[in-house]
Amino acid sequence: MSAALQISMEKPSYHDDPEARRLVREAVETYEVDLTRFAMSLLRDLERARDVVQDTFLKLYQQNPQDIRPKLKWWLFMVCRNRALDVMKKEKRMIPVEEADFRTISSESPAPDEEAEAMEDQMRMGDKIRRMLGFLNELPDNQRDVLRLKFQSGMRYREIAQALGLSTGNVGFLIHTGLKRLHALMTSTTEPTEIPGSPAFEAAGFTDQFSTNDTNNKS
Amino acid sequence: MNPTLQDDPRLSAWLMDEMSVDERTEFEQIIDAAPDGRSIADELQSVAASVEAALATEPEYRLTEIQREVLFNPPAQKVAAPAPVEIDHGNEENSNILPWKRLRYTGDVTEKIRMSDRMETRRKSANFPTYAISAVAAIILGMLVVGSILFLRQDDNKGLVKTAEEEKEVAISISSGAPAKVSSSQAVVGSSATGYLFRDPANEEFRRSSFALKPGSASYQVVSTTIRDGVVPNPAVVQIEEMLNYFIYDYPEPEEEQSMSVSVESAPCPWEPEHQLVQIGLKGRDAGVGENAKQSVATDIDVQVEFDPATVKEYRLIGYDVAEGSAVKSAGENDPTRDFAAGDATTALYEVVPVESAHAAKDDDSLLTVHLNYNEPNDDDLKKSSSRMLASRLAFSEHKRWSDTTSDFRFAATVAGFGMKLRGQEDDDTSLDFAKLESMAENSLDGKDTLRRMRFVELIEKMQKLSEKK
Repeated sequence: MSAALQISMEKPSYHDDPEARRLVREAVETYEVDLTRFAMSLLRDLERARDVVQDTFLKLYQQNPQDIRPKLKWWLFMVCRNRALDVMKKEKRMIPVEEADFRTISSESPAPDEEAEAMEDQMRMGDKIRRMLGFLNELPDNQRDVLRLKFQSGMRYREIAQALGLSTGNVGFLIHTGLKRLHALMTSTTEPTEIPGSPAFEAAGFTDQFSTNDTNNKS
Repeated sequence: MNPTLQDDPRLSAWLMDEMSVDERTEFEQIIDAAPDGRSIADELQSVAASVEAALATEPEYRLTEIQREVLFNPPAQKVAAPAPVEIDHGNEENSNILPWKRLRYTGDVTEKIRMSDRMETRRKSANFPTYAISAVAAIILGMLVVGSILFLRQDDNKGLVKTAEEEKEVAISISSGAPAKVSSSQAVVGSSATGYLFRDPANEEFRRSSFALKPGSASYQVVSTTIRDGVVPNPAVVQIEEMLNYFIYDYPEPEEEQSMSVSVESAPCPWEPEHQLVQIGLKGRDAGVGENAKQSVATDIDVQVEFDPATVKEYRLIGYDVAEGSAVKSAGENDPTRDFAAGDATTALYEVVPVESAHAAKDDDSLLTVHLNYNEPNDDDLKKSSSRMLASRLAFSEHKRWSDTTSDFRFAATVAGFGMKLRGQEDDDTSLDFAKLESMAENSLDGKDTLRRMRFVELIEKMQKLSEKK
């Protein structure tokens, strides 16, 4: 069991501190959506993403509210990502061994309501946006992550660097490389005549978005 | 050699205002010096804008209300472990009124339902109550009082026959691990030495059993948060049926003509191999994408599990520990929920004691039959709903070997066993220790719900450490 998966029992707890409760409430109101989106981009599964985000906020209770407040944003994204990566690692390691032996009920259970809705939303989206999201998910993980933190959560380079454990220079390089790559992908494909299900559509990575298997395509 | 402008990461930094004044001044000279410098910058700016626009269209995912409630009302030590009453293990008189244990026999189902309705309302209120957890404690306390009163009444008025066997002492342990003794004097209590309430299907009243369609899952959230906080949960907050239904099981989709499916699986009970454990799963047709996505799948659902007294000596519905043993026949009968929305599912476990002369039974004698009745709503005319019936029969010989069971079955059995341990219903002597439970859970991760199951493994581990600390 990796250390990060454990919430140590010895850690201090600020459950009874009104300041900590206020902080958690504010943090949830402010960052819930973006954190869950971020976790979704890593795990591709809403239930798991929610669990990871809930854990992230719970860990906030173990931090001194005064100390954590100035670094709250990047700290939340850092904890969330580490937690998600742990989960992915553990899952990769543990599932395949069992899967072949014990899968007896073959019916594939379709996505829960919310995922179905999300999928519908995606279908309704403008084609350019859809293509962009597809390409974004095709980028190497570290490029995808920095772009998301920059353009979805509006973080500064320095905050992204803290959250991902990189240097600020690294972040600048990854953002620039990611943007260039997206630019190249967007201009190299013909403007939208593809229809969903066509090879071009799939090649652009749209099906990938909904896949739950391909969660660990580390670059 | 300097990179071309396109390849210079400073271009992005400049666009995103990540430069000092000096850097900016210097870099703007570079842009102006480059051929097409400004249009290269504009182009990158427009890519950045598209990325931002695309990401902004993603759905606004949020936590579930229960998750938020747990976050806003974290069960810290003082709040989360409300001892319903002080129990003095050294005092014989006190141990005789061990409240939550007694409650198992006497609590009233309607009371529980009413209470959970109230909790539901609290959960839904826009402004989450700060002390929901203590409210739970208060509710439980209230139920204890009601339960005790009912117990006394039942004893006095109904003139239940007490036999020597039923008077036997039942050892149980509370969360502290300290065993306490209670005298079980219930006419309906079966032979099990663990003090569970078993029912005899030969008694016409107990021929059929039912369970709740939507037991909820709040108890699991409370239990897991408490354990993660390093606190042993109070047995009274452990509702096994809610823990079971927190998890997702891979039940088959309904047949073409149906809106619901029934799954039944059975194997020897891990904590009592002479008994059979039966898992029953109901599943509503999943949401299609489109106009019918939100339609309620089935209404007026009635589920009944009929036991065959020729093969079943006695049985018990696992969980529902507040309700069980009450004069009310079954948990399901007072559950106000009668409808399934698309994709809904529910899980129930029964522990079945076969008759001793079971070898005389023929292989295809039935052990139990699940009867499911429901109404299929008519899309065009709600009044024209049609009634459907499904029956799923489990033959006496149909139980699997443990190694042949599905991962879902093994996992459900593990959750039940863990819940029983937490409730103090299993002594430390039994085969169900935390290490065993952990390995059972690890062998049942595969399925729809691996992440939650992995976290459950962590939970068992943590609980094991907590129990060793004692």
